[in-house]
Amino acid sequence: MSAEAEQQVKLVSSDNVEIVTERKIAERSMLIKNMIEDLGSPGEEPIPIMNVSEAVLRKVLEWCTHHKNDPAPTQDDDADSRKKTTDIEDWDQKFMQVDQEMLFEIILAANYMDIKALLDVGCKTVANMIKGKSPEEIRKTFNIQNDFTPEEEDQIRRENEWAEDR
Amino acid sequence: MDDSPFATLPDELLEAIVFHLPPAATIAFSATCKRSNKITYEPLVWRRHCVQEWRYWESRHELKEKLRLPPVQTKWRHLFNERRRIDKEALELFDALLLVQQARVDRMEKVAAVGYDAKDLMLRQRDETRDEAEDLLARRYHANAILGQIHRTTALDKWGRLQRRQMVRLEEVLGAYDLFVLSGGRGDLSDIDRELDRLAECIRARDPDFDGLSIRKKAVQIAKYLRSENLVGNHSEEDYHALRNNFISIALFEAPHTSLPLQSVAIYCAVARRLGVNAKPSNYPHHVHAVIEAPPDTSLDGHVRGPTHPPRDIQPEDATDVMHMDPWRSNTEVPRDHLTTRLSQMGAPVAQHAHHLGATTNLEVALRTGRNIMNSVQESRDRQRGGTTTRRSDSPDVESAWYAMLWSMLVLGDATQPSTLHRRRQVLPYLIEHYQAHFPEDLGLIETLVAPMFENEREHHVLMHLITTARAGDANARAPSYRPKREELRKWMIPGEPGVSFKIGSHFRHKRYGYQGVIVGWDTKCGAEARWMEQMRVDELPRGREQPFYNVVADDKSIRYVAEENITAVREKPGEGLMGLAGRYFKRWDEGEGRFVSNMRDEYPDD
Repeated sequence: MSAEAEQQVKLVSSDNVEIVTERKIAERSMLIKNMIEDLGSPGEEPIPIMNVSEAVLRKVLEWCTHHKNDPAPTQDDDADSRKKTTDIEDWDQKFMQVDQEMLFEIILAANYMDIKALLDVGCKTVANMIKGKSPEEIRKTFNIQNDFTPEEEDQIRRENEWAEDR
Repeated sequence: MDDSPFATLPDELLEAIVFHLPPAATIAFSATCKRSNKITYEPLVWRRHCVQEWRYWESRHELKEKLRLPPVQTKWRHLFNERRRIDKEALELFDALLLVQQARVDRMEKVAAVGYDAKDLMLRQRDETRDEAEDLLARRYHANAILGQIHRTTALDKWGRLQRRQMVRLEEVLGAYDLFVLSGGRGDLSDIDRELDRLAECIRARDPDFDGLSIRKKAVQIAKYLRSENLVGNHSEEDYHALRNNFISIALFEAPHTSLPLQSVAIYCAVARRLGVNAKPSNYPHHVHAVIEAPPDTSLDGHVRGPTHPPRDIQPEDATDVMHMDPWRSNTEVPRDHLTTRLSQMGAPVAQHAHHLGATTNLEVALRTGRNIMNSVQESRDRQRGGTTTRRSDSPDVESAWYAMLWSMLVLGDATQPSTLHRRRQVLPYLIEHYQAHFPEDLGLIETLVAPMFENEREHHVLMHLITTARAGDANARAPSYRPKREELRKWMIPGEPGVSFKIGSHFRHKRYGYQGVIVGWDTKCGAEARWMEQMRVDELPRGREQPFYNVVADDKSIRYVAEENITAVREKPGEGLMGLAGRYFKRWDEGEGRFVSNMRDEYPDD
């Protein structure tokens, strides 16, 4: 097992850059883990990560390196559970201090590479940027075009009157 | 969205982000553009908000059923808005009742009438009000009192159903007692229900062949599991009668999980029935067993009774039909002859054996628990009086347990029996006294449940008078008591001494008896009846009856009337017990002043 973990694997980004990393780190990604299992001979064949550019892939691997020893996620991600935590641990918070473009690229990469914990951190980071803001402030933050007609806007306002005092 | 980075995300990832938003942020986000509006309309989003925001729901919502259906079949967003509106209205009532004493009972009743839809709100008011809040104590106290009202109304409803011979489950009949003493987190009927479901699932999960076992083997497996989890029985014989042992939820949720045989058997039976085993508590004297009956078509060992045996009644003496378990003591079946031998030793006539070994009714179980609680409370009071221990007096609350017992003795039992009326008559004055001293918010329950019970009896008139007076007292503004001016001071007073020395909210120690208390009212001179003054020998006090007298709440929860000369002011903050009670009269403790901030300015404007 330990020999397996110390193995090196070669990843290739969408812009054709080869990155060598530990198998254990790369296998935080379920996509890579499954590919290695399918290929059978890790280390030799480079693994293409088609949708992720070099810059983003390096960033994702940085996260995987820090979290390589995390315990496997527990299977109780029950949508009904009452714990609603948008708490993010300190290291992850610093890690996510990137420009918006990179942040959304990380989310897309985490989704494509199937790294649930990183996807969660990314989504929570965006959620935290939305929380506590008015619709207009959210639009400004994320450069969203208001495409409602005045009538629609009026209706939405009426539906959500209760939310005003919270 | 166009230039927005959101435009790069597919809907599923946008949904993943919305998943982490609280309700208000969800709404704000939905108002930014059409796409986010569409995404946040997903029923799953609002189903999640509903479930996360509120743990408790009135039964009319049928939440458990709704959660089982596909999300689109329920208007979750609509439901969310409805609960939000209910919260808002209940909170307005709650804030209003904290401000003045007038109509306080009326407003408390209105909030409590919302039932379980108000429970989460009240829990938050009680547990999450900031320590710096201006009316901290009042807020916590009244939220807790309303929770009590909601719980007691539910308990009395369950017992009412039992009386009317409607379906009530064993764990509900017993859990009703728990509702009276419920103070912390889990322990409500729905919590008990969920926990019993969970235990049954655990037993099934441990043995993949469980459903194929015979009833006899299942019965033993269930006892084994519950005993291995320490959920039934009691290792410390010394604490056999401890008050906590009477409550099924405390046995389930709070270490060390001890209970009386009755509660252990109830847990056993409730889990067993969830696993298809027909188990009921027995009628055995001085102990309770679980009586397990075979289904009509097979024996306890799983032998199918062929068509040659037409459907027949259970034969209580046939070991293939009926078995006994004693989960409080052991994992194994108790042979019938052991039980009959013990009965003979106890002197029970043989003709009675079948009755003692048979299953009892839920009503009997309820009454038996009431009697057990009476014993436990009396024992714990004796111990306290003896000064041997105070350590276990906190949980569960003795007064609340006593109140539960009084209610059960009043409402349960065969109303056509003269002995029942006799018992009710005996219980009534104690119940009324307890209601007046500790639970004045229960006026509505006295009105709707107790008064009709005595319809044609001599007590009815007194009850109606009491109710009318209490209603009027609640509806009318309190007559203000102004502090006497200096020129009004009587000449007998020591020159320079103020008329009424101590103010509402003062913490004090009784000079002679040593207990601590808080002042919640005063008279410029003794206002009690002549007989009371005689009994208490007021005229033998050095300052006699012509000195100020104070209404006080003592640290043992009693309400007393104390002469000024017996009061020594204490400036330190009172202990936990008094701080809890103080919320009925005060807003908060003022460290600088060294006394409570009055919440009865309408009655004592100068204090």
